[in-house]
Amino acid sequence: MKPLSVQAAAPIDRPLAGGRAGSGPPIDLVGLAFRALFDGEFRYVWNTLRYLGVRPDDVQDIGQEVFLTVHRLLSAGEVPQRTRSWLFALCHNAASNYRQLARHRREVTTDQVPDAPDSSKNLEARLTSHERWAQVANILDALDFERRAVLVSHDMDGIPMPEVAEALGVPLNTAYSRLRLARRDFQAAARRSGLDRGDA
Amino acid sequence: MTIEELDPLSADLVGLLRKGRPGAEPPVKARDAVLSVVMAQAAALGTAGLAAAAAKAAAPGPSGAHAARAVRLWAALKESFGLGGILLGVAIGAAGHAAVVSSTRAGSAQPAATPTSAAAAPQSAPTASAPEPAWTVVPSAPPPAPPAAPRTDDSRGDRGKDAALASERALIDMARTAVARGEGEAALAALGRHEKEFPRGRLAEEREWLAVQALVQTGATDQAKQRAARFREAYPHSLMLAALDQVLAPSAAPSASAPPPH
Repeated sequence: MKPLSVQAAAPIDRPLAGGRAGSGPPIDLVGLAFRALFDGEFRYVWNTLRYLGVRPDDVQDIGQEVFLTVHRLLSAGEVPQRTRSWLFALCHNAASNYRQLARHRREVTTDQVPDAPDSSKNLEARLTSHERWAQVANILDALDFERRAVLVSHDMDGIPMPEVAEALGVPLNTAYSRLRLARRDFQAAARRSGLDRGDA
Repeated sequence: MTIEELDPLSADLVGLLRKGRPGAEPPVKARDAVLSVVMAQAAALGTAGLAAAAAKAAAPGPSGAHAARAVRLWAALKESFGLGGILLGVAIGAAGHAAVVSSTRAGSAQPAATPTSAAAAPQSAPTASAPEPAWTVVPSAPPPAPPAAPRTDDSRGDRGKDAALASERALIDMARTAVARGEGEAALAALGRHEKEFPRGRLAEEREWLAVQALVQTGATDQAKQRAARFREAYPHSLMLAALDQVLAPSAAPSASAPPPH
């Protein structure tokens, strides 16, 4: 596993850690921080793993791995300050390991069915958006993994490029270069597949 | 290379990507399963983890820098929030916030979210709802500004700065009290004044953070989201980001993982 960016985390704040004389029972800072992260970011982690090519059947296991790491890092005294890019780094690591382990398997991230039943009444529009997203997923699958990672983190999740570069552990210029190539590839594939209606 | 030099994607594709996968809510079962596995492992490792953290805290040398940073963090939190009890939870994440919100909404029909693992949240909640000094916050007629309030925060001299900060703080305190009481409209009135008088004030970050919460309280979810997006842009390193997500997450309503109210 690649080392995590140190700048993205701060040590647990001892004065905050409670248990000071006469102040009542110690506060479970790690539990608080973890639970806040988990509740707020489970969806983000889940979707990011999917966008990074983790198969629907495997995303629960890999997500669990990510959150175990989150808990371990928090217990070791880290508090993420830039939550999204910190989590993205963890997701990227996990997805990258997953790919290496699962290389012999054909990766399919296309949605056959949505993960959760959707009670939308507008079935027609929903089908269309699912179909369009299925194409997006196909195109993402065809992208180079590292280019895809930059596209997902920046163009989808809106993480600023300096943070993307830091999360991926690459120079800023490299990250920009990957973004440029990712967009070029994505745009070209979208044109070919008719996904892009050309209303740029 | 900068972002401006890159060819953008077509607007159509940007829209698709930004919107993400439709129906992309992770299954509740998977979420609960992951949580229980992590908590079980954490409990198993609990003692070792605490020991390691304690050793780290006690270690001489490099931990000096950590301690200094921790003290700064602590100071920043106190500076921003004054009421330490409320914000312990909020500052680190959002569990505390959930408790604050639920306690302030206790009178409404919404059942209070019950923090499951966070031992501290119940402790902070009473602080949040503890009787405040008798503020009377009137949404339509906000109190007058403190006398001689400078219109900007770049007044010359320390005294000017102190006075400006005090004026800022008065408005922010007012808004914070209103938010803690679930009075979003009143909070927005105070925050609007702060924004007008101190657009780049030293407490602008907290103003924006409170504004998002206040908008959520008034049900203006879309506006809250827009303001949150601007917050993210303006304060990408803010300690409040995790809490921000929590405020905007649908799970701000009681989530499947929270035990049902008794």
